[in-house]
Amino acid sequence: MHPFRTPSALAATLLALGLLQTATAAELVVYSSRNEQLIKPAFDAYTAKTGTTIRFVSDKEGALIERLKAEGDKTPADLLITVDAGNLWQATSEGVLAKIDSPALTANVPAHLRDPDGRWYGLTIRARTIVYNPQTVKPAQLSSYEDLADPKWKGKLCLRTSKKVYNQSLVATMIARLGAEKTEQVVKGWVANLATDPFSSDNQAIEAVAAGQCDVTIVNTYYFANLKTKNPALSAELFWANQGSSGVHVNVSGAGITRHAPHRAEAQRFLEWLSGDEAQTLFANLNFEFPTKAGIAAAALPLSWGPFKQDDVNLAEAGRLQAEAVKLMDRAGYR
Amino acid sequence: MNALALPAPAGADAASSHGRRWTLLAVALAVPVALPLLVIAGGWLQHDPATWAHLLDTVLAELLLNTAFLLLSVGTAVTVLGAGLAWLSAACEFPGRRHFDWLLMLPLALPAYVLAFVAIDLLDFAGPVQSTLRAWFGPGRWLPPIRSRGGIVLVMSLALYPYVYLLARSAFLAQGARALEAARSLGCGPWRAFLRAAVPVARPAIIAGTTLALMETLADFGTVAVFNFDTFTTAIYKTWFGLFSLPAATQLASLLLLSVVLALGAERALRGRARYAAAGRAQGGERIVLRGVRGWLASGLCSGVLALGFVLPLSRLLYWALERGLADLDARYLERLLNTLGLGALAALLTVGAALLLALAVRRQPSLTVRLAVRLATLGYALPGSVLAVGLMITLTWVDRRLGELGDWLGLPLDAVLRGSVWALLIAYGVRFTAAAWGPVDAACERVRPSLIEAARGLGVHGSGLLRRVYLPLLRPGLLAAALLVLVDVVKEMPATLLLRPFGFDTLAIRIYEMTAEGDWAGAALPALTLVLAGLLPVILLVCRSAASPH
Amino acid sequence: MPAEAPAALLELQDIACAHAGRRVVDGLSLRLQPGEIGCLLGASGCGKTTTLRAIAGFHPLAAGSIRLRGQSIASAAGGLPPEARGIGLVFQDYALFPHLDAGDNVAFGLHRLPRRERRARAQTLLEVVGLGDCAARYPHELSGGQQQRIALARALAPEPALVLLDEPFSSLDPELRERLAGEVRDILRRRHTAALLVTHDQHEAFALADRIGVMHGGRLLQWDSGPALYRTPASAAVAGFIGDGRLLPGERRSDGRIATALGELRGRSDGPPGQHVQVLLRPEHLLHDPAGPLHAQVLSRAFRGAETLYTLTLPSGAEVLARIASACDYPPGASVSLRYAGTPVCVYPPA
Repeated sequence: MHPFRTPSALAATLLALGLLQTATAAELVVYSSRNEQLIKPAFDAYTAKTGTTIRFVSDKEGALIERLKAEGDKTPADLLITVDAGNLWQATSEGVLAKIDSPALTANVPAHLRDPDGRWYGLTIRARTIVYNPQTVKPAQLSSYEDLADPKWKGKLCLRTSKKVYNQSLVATMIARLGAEKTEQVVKGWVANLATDPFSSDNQAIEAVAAGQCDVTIVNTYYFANLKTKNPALSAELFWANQGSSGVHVNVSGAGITRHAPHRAEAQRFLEWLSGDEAQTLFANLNFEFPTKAGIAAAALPLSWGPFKQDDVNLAEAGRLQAEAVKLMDRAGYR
Repeated sequence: MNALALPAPAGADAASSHGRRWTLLAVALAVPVALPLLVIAGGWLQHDPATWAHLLDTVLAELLLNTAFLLLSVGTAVTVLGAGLAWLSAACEFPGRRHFDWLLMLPLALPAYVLAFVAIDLLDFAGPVQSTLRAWFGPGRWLPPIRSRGGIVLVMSLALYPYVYLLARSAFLAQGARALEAARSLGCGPWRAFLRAAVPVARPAIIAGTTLALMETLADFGTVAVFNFDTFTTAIYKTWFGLFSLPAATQLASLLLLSVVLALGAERALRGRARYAAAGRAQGGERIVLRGVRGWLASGLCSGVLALGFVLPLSRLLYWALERGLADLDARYLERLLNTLGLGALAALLTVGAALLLALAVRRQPSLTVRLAVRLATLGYALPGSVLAVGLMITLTWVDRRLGELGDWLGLPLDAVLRGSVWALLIAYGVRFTAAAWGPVDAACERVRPSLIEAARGLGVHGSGLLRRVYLPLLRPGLLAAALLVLVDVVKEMPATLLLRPFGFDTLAIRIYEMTAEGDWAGAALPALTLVLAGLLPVILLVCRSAASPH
Repeated sequence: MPAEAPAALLELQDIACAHAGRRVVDGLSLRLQPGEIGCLLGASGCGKTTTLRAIAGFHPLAAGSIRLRGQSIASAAGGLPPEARGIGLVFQDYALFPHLDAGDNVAFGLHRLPRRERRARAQTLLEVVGLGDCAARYPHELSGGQQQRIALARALAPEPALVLLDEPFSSLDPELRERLAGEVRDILRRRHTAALLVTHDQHEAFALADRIGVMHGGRLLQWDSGPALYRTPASAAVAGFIGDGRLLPGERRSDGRIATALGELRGRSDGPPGQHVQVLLRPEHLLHDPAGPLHAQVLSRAFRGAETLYTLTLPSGAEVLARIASACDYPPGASVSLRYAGTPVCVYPPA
């Protein structure tokens, strides 16, 4: 019997289409854990400017790294774009990223937002800070992440799940600064102060604060900005944490060139362009994130929150300590 | 039929070249499943005692309890809900039954993670329902918390009961009314007769449905992530993405697999020699008429399930989609939709074909090898999608490399033949969903009595003629049901599609992933809605098919 | 029913049943005494199975009533559910539970007994039907006859006063059918269990039943013992269905005798002279006599062992049947001489 004759012809056509695309020249291939809507405008702008086509697949970071490992020297990928230093650090420790010497990149990206060995570079800054309900909390009552562990916040704190890498990085930088013992005390304090089980997203945490389920939470600023844009009456305000001490925890979305990149020189030109003025301005207006390059203005809403001091712990350190942070949060009962 | 149920030898071709061919076929079909499983089991070769010590010290006990709780509660709920509703619609008469009969299948098209998100969005403290209640009655919590054990069991049960409903319903319909009448003449009331005569005979179907639902529960990541509920699967993901230990993650995954194998083996052993072929012809028209309050209670139950499991979430998606405007609705949408459906249809065809060949192989050549091959081939469903996807990706990449070397040697361009092609996706779907196809296909084959085959052979029909003239017409309903189940599953599938799709190849599920990865659920509403509608198509086909069956 | 009638076990009074608006059983009444075995006999589609299902409680009554032990169990207004009637059932296809072994099948209806007693009772009944060593076998591991006996044992286990059997032997081969019919009868007799059987096979009915009802077109034509049905069928239709025989047209004379192509016969009933009638002529009404006054031609014959049943044509063209010792061999076309035995014949209105 030949029940599959027609469908296999169809599949063969699909396959042929796929192969044809692979055969096109003058192009870059990107593996991206950033979503299409946040990264594609930059690709399109580069293609318009240089004529280089950019093809990409989006997926979860871990899966992309495994894919690069499995493909080895046969990989079609030139660049890996991902969020969070933890993931970038993991990519370097798995050896899938290549070291780049580029004066342009070193000049554009501040030292604490890139790999000391030049294997990845931050492209946008994502600040994680405190959001509170102005009806119940005065800004004067707030100070730092550590302060939220104080019993005075009992039943008033909302948090996102510890399984999200943003919280893992935040805790990792705290370990780098305060040491594991002190950090564990803080995390235990947070858990004791929780008003409700941890949420699965930053948006839910902000909405819970606005609805009065709790008074304070820790979220990334662009989530807050997106919600505030949609609903300016939202009963939630932003507070820059740790301004009197270490500074706000910042993380990056960043990129690196793969070890076996087929178009290495072109990839480097593209990465340099991403860290330059044109792309940085584009990024600043895409998702309310902050540009990494000094002198490029953020979007209006983030600018309205005023300047803030950043935590300057090198993000590679956060990556290195991420697994330890996960274990620490497990021990502290932070779900 | 149970995902791993194996029929007793019937019409076996004793050690002939024919038999060897069937053995070879079954083994060939099992290999694509076996390889990624081996890769996953290969995680044991790499020691990671630190991660294990950490898991044992902190979270392992809790998440084992959580997983057991979830399996037990969801298993009980989908069995009671699915079999109960199936019984109501197949054997009783009450207001609206004819419509509920097919309406109750619709939630199959709704992915559990979508239902989970909508439930939390609507019912959590900050959601519209509780906000309205606070506006009317003052501050405070006015509903039991949705982000709770009860909430997740409710959501998963509503999303997964259709598996049981679908299979149990056809079993109840096919079941002779005689067994039930016999029970009643022996002094059992209608409900007792249901429990003691109808349910036991429908047991394989109910267990097959519950098994599918439980395997989905075990493998589920999306729903438990939305609920932030820690299970074995979230631990696998955390170990991989948070502790960066893929070996420990695969070790956990292989333990998961082992427990599934043991559970299925136990069920098989418990069933013993009993048979479940329907006694007597199916009888239509003799329904238990539920009058008055009882009839309306039945209608109310069906309406409630339907409202919570389908109408409400769909309305919420629609509301979001309209709120966002239909600006996203461009040519790429059509492309995504066509990709989704085309991929689903192709995968359904291949997967059902494989399941049919396996079902025939195990009947024609019921040797240990063939039976083991069948068991292996139907295991993929229980693995968390991402883990299976990575196992597959590593396997396919390895095959590609070997092919590439062969190509270099032959001077042919054989680079990346599988990886990043539609073939890789189709193989992945086959590996993952053969179990879903196996149930209906095996049950259908069970209904082909050996005497029919013998009669046909006596009349000189054999080989492909036998397949075409006897098997296929008799199996058509079962094959169709299997194909539609696979289609719906493929359309909803996310992790393997993400990891193995060709460049620029988008489906609706991928769009949903991209929007929700940054928490933009309103943005995911349109693709989710389209996904549900695309998934409805096969479900409605399924409904039409069962309406056309002789009942 | 008149008040003085003896207490019947089962009493159907003027019952009617409908299928999709069409009456398939109408105006049916019958009584079955305790311990009696009754049988409804008729061609398929005559309404006999519907009657049985109505008694069991699986088919509603459109009219009339059913009483069991003097208690009403069904009427047009509704009735007791099947499980409350205490009536055993044996199905045509046995309907054994495929998921239970023989012992558990038989014990199925004993759920009110403690577990140990249940199993013991089931074992006793299995021995009653001669399958004492089959308790652990599953239905698919048993032969048709064995399944039939398990089905009977299962129906008998709760000790019902009445067992209904729907074409119980139709799927067995003829030899087994006869043997099993005898066994079933003996078992029912010994346990003094009343039974109502449905069949289209009159030999089965005669072999088993004390009383037989002939059904046609949803009506009960006659409810009587086997010999009475044979000797005195109440109508030409019953006569045509039961036993061998032919109907001959005739005319009543003033002396009460009936003139036919065979000459004058004695009628069992009286009527006005000059009346046109038809009479039932059984083979035993004609005797083979080489010197007899009647001559007929052999049309066909059926060898029955010691005797052969001949179908003969009279000079008038009418057909009759005669049993003749097989020693005399008349080929088709041969002429046979006969005489009337003198026994009275049944008389019916003309067709």
